[in-house]
Amino acid sequence: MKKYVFAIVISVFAGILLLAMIFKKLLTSNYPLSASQQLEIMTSSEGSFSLFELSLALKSNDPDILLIDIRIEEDYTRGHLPNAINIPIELLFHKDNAEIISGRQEITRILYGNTEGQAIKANALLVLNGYTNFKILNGGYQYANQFVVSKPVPSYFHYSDEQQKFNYSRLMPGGGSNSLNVKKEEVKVEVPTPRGGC
Amino acid sequence: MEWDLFFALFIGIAFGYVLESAGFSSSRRLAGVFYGYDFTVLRVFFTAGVTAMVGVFIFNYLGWIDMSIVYVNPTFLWPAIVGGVIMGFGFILGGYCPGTSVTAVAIGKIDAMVFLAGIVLGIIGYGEGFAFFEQLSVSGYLGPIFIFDTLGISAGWFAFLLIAVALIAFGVTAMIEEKVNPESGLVDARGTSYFIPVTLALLVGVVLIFTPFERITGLGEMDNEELEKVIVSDNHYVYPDEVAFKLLNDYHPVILVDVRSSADAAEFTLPGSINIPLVQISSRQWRKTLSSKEKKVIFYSNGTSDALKAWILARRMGYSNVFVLEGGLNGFFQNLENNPKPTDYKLESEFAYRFREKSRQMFREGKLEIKKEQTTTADDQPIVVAAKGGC
Repeated sequence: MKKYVFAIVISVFAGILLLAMIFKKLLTSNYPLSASQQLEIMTSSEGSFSLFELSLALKSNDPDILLIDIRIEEDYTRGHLPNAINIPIELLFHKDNAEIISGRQEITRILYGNTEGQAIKANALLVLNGYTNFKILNGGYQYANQFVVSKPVPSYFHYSDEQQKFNYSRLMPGGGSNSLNVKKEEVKVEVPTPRGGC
Repeated sequence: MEWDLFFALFIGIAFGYVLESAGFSSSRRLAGVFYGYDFTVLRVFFTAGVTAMVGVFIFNYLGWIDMSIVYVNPTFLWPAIVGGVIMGFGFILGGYCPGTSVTAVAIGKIDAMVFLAGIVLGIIGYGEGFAFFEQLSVSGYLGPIFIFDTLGISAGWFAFLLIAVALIAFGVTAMIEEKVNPESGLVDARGTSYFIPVTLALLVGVVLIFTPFERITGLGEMDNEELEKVIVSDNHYVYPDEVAFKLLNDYHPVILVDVRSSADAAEFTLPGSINIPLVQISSRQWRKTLSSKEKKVIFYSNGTSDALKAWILARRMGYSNVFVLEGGLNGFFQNLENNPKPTDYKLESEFAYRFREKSRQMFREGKLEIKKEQTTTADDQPIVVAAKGGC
């Protein structure tokens, strides 16, 4: 009898641990979104706002579009896009700004910094905390101010930081022929992964 | 109040109680493991080890303990061998190991008191003569290594194997005991079925195989607040000159990672770089490549944006040695093509100017052909390992 009690106690304990492992995601996660969810949000084309869209928005004075300047206050007072509000990146989660960050969902919120990179960082912080409906202004303040606000230059309206500015293969002929190796590596790696089964 | 000491006292009393109730204050029983008539020592310590391992595993998975702040003793090979031999001799001669000798003293055994006095003398002797032993005590340094890494299997598989080995050892030792000493052995346990406990233990082992156990090897998701600080700081950029230097000097410890799509990379990629499209960055298959400790991992894309995104994700996933090429490929070639002649007559700006001029010419002439092949094969290795270690 005593032995059975012992076995039952151990099984109950093991059962609790197993259940805890199954429901672990709900109990302890550092972040509201998993890494792959975050990646998906950060790379989706929904997340960017082109200079062309900006020019339209400025022209129509759309009240449902909110420009958020995430640079430091000094930069903001020196010059900013029309109707933009200033929330320095360090103060994104300050309680005074909670209304803007998590307020009405139908507003399109657009982040911009001096460069695209700054806005990407601010957006990453927001996504890490579960706020996923922000957009990033392509090109950042420098391009927006120069080519949309001061003097509209339509050829820049579809500018993006990732645009290729040089013919790389011409400048470095050794680089292009590398393609075969890249292909080969990929195949080699992808085959064993499913075989492992975990 | 210092709670650490309170817990230490509590755990110490519990440990002593368990040792005493397992019969470890008897030197006969302890020495039995060497003569083959009593394997209780092996069974108790094996059970304790397996239980602790399962506990650490599951608690780590549940996030109840933070393995990154658990101290792992580094391995020093030679002192471990020498110390092990001395300890073994002492064990069989005196009939106690250090912990059990203290329990035996507590119940008033005189031989244990002598043994403990010997331990104290030994400690004093070692302390006083440390200058003499110092050389030996740090020889054969291997760092905090893990047996599952050395074997090239996952921690979960190792846990399962250890449980299986423990169960087999229990069975084998029971058989040896019966042969050597048919009278005692496991008298009180004869006739009981071990089916349930054995199945349970194996089941736990199977569960452990599928439990990710990453933090102990330094790869867990980064803490949220810490990550926010890292993202806002601006010290993750690498200057284009460093990348140019790498392309001309293969030995420079850097891994270049092209995060653009594979179509773009097929058209042009920096020689020797590995293509990990941004959308795949969270995939497990790149773990070995991205977690490189000796070589800096540098992400690049056409501009800075995509590389920056890849970097943020990589940092979140716990890769710490990752950087971003400032300006991307655009910035890289801009740096070479629009290389201003220095006007300040400083030596380093003159050097930088000449270096860029030289690299520009060499890149244009495609003088990387030989280096490229070498780099690619060298960079192949971490990928092959990654595939192997994937499970």
